[in-house]
Amino acid sequence: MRQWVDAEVRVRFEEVDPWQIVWYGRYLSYFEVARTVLMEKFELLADRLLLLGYRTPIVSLRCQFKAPARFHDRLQVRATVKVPETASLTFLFEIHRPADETLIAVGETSHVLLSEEGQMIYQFSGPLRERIDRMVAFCNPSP
Amino acid sequence: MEKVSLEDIQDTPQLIDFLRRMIIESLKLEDLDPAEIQEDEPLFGEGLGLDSLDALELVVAIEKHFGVVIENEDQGKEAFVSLTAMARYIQREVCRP
Repeated sequence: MRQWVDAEVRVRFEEVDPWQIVWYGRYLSYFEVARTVLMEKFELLADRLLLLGYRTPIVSLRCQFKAPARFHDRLQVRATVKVPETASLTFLFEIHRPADETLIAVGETSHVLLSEEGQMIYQFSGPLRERIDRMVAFCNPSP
Repeated sequence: MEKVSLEDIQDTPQLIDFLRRMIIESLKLEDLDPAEIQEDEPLFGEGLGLDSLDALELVVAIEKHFGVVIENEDQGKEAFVSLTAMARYIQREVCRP
């Protein structure tokens, strides 16, 4: 079983479109709230990574919209990371509305790692590897 | 995929043929006919059109099949120019003491 980290967001007025539902692009910011909680836990937030000399640009995004969220909904956003098979990070996301137990959206983002010189890293090493290993082990406990 | 012997690695046409099938298998491009990947065609951008995540998959496949570790984009740049370049890179690295 995967381990997820949770965050709560409250849908703001500015996030709702003229159809009274959350505009599709907003879900990405919601994913980011949970991903930030996960990355912070393992000292992998963007500013900490910059100190190590790395950036983690996104290269792929997938999102499935299951049900509309509305103004002032209280949403539970969850994030986890897959066991990497290459030198990339793939995060999984779910957005739920606990009040009526509705699944709102599921998503996935993939990120590569760049060195200070803008070169793509093909192998994780050093403190970067240790932190990623800890995050992956937390999210994917062995049975 | 079958194991590659040192002899096969030195045989350039044989190695290129193996690399064609390795690329198709590791990038799940089963719809592509191996013969369609031209020896001197660029693998990334124009040409076959592979992307950064594909590069990482190829790094893992090359390590698995040949024990050759590509550390970063700088080294990869040389190996990923084309099939011919990839074959030459592997032949050189395998022979490195």
